[in-house]
Amino acid sequence: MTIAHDFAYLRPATVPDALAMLADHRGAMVLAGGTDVVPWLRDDAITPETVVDIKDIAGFDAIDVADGVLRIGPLVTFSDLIASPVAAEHVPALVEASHTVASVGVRNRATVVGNICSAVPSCDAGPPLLVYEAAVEVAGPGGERSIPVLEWFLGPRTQALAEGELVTGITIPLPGAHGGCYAKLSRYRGEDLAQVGVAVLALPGNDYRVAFGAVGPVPFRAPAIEERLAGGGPGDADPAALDALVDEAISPIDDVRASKEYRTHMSRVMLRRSLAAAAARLDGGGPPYGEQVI
Amino acid sequence: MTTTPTAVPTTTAVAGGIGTSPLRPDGIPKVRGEFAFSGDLHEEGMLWGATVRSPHARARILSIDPAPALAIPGVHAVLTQDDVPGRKTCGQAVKDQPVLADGETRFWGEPVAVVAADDAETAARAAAAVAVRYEPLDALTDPGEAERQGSVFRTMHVVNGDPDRRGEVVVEGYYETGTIDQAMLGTEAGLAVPDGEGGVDLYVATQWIHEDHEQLYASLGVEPGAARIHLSGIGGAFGAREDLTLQIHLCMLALHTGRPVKMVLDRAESFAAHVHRHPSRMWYRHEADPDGTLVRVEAKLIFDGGAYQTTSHAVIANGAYFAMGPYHCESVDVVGIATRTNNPPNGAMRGFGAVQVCFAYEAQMDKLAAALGMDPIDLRLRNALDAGDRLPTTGQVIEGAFPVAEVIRSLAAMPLPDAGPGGDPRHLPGGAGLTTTAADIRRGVGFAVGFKNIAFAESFDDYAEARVTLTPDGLLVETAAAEVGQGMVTVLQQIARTATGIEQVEVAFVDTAAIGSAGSTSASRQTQMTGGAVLEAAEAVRDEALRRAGGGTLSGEGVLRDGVVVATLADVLAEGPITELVRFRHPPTTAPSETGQGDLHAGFSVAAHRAVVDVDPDLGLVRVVQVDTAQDVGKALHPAALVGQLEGGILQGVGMAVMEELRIDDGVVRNASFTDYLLPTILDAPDVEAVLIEEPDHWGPFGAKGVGEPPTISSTAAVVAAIRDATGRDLTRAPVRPEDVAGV
Repeated sequence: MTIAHDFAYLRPATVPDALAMLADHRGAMVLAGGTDVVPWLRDDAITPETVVDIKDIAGFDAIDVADGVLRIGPLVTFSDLIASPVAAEHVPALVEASHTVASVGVRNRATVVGNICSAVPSCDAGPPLLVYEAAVEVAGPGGERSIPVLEWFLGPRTQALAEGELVTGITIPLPGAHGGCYAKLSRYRGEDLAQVGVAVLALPGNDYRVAFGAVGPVPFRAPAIEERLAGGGPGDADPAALDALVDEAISPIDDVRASKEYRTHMSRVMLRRSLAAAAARLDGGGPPYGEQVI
Repeated sequence: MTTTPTAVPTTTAVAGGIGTSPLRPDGIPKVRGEFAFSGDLHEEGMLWGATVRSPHARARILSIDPAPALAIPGVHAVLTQDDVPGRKTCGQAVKDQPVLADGETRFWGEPVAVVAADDAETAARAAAAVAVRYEPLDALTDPGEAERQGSVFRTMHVVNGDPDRRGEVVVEGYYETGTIDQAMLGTEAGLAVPDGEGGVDLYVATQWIHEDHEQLYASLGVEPGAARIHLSGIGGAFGAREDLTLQIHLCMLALHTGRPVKMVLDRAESFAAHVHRHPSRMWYRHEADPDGTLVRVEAKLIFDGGAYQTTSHAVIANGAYFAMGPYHCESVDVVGIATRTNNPPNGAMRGFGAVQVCFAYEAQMDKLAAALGMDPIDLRLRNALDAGDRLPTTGQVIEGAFPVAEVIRSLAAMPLPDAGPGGDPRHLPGGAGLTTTAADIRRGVGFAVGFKNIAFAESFDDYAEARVTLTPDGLLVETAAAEVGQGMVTVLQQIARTATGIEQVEVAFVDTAAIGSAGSTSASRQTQMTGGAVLEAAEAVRDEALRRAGGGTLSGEGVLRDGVVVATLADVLAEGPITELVRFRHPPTTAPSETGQGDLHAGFSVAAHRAVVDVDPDLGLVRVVQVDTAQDVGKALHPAALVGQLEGGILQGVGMAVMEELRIDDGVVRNASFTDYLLPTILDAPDVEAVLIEEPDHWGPFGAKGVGEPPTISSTAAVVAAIRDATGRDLTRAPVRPEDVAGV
């Protein structure tokens, strides 16, 4: 459908300008890549009176490392991240997830920040950012604040951004040596939304971080699973006990994309496979970080 | 490729004739984006139309208030059932579908009102603003319940042979197939232009402009000549354009406003607007002697027709007539029922009833082979029909080529692909999200055979008109047949070239006022029907040109004798124009008896498919590695385009096997988008190797047979058989879902 309602279109050049516009126009929708916002406008899923396009804001497209922190600007696309040597060095599981997002054309437009601002339960950036313990940097009427990704996702399509606030970047403390993995269940080889997403980080000393996407109202960490795994190899945990912990952690829905039972089954299998891959990668082996070919 | 001599051309060889693969005239413009599809239509001052559709599977319409829509600036019309000037209903065989809802809506997405406005945005806003008050009613959506209530469009009972014949080896099975969408890439679109004298010209993408015309002028309440339909560029069809969608609506809006009106459906609306392939429920019982001779088949088929009849009567007939495959059998008893429910209407889709039953009878053949301890290919060969045999369902003696055994043997003899995937993750099942590794994979191979009739059946007066005219520059072929992307335009050129020796052939698609009907571009019929008309007309043109020149051979330069031009085309035309109009008919068919007996079909074509799949049984993910095929094609007129038909049909079959299904809950479609109605992409496409079996048909031009539908008939059955082989699971429903494979 065409966009059937009118809205004002604003294009600030600086963060203060953007904040002023957001302050003047309550309920304004921020536009970056537009791969979610434009279809939502077409479908009447959102009907903002104002759209604030941030593509002119200088410096928003940067990926850089300073003081032990990797910073991803709000205009960094998934393709930018895939092409970034810095990202490949420090956050390979996030790059791996980036490869699975939609298609080349969408990845050339869609931003990492936009992905978590849309906050759909299946967002591919969510689980890796959770295991990398990233934070969302925000500017707003009350100044600047930093929101841990653990506290970012509040519900389907709902996140912690307050009225008038703008995301100015994502920060990730450099994780050091690790093996990472993002496994995504798609129904076919065409571009698809995750039916299940699993991110695993294996850190030295048998320390594991585990996050799931698409099997609950928000992407989430699974601390009970992490505790069970701590101190042992990925194969040391009793498989049945691990499966039971997965079942407790997830709350998958039943829809046209997959049944609740199948999502549950896949969450178990994919966790096992992701743990094995991440642990092997920590040791310098394992499968090469995956590349999506579309 | 096997080659059998066919009808001998009477002229010298000509570039771009039959048996070669010349470029299609619309190919490069389509690749370059320069071809005008129906969505590209434009007329100065045109308005845009939009449709108000029912959100309920069934509801009473309490009131329709157009005022809020008409209050929007730029809105010119809101029309309802009251505004239909002529016949209030439409439909192909039975006019049972309201042009606009008649006080009750009977399926989700049924058109209730149409609007016209200055632009597409305003039209969409206006459609949303039309205030319709509904009282939802209980919807009948279960086909089994519909059968119990007697809510049916047609019941077939095809009976043949000794009803007491029994076999020692018996297998029974119950099978289902889902609702499948044609998913043509060009959505429904058209432009209606009023002529200022009460008439209208409609430019639209459709499969049969003359059938559309019959329904159109009646509902507009105008004389036939006052409504003219012109084909516009068609982006695929596969049956979805056989029934009317927006044709009458556009013309009503144009005549009401006095302005040209354009409408283009978006994808979600397209899913609601056109008919789909019938979902099916099928019970089968096969009985055989211990040596593998099939002796009795009983089947009961329920195809859900949805809310309106469209072509359900013919689809269920095909299901019943072709219910047991291309095999001998002494005794047959098939019941076929097309139910009427409040699901979206189902009708034509490539294969037209033969696809569903093939999925079931080929699963039964594998099951029977296992019960007999026989090789499944040997079982099929043992029972294969041949030309001259009687079809065990209808009793018709098969005329023309019907090389079932050769198709099976040729396919079975093809080499299998190398075993197992290597390390390349692109060749593993599922997406590339690290879900599968090579060690998890099991390979399976499946085989299936299917067949179907060509052209219209059951005594329908099926014909095609074409006109061929000699011009100083070559030949002009005029036809109303729909080029839907399949390549008919090239085949008509090739036929005219080979018939006349003239290379320069222009094919013009003309309107309903300019020529008689070519019949529908469906039932795999146009190569044989319009191709047959063009062949006869071109031969007559050639003969007249040669008569005028006193004999010789014809070419683009003129009439040749001993290699020398003795008369140019202009010389030949000095006496007057040479033009031939031919109305071509295939051999007549009869109406069925009460038990479905008779010479009901004009000809048949058979194909077989062998699928190779890799499956991760733990995850339920499948990759279709390769699908090979052998097909009975009569004569390959354009080998490259023909293989393209086979590949495309196979891909549709793969889609139905492992991913495509319109999910309908309580009559409401839940996945009307390409996000959730999955189509195989190029990355999901298997490799295809094809063998063309060329035994000449008894009436097709140069022995050619229509080739469009057989590729979709048995490809689904073969893929699912391969998944059964890989997993050992008794998969009885298509599409197969990952849950079914993983057993969760």
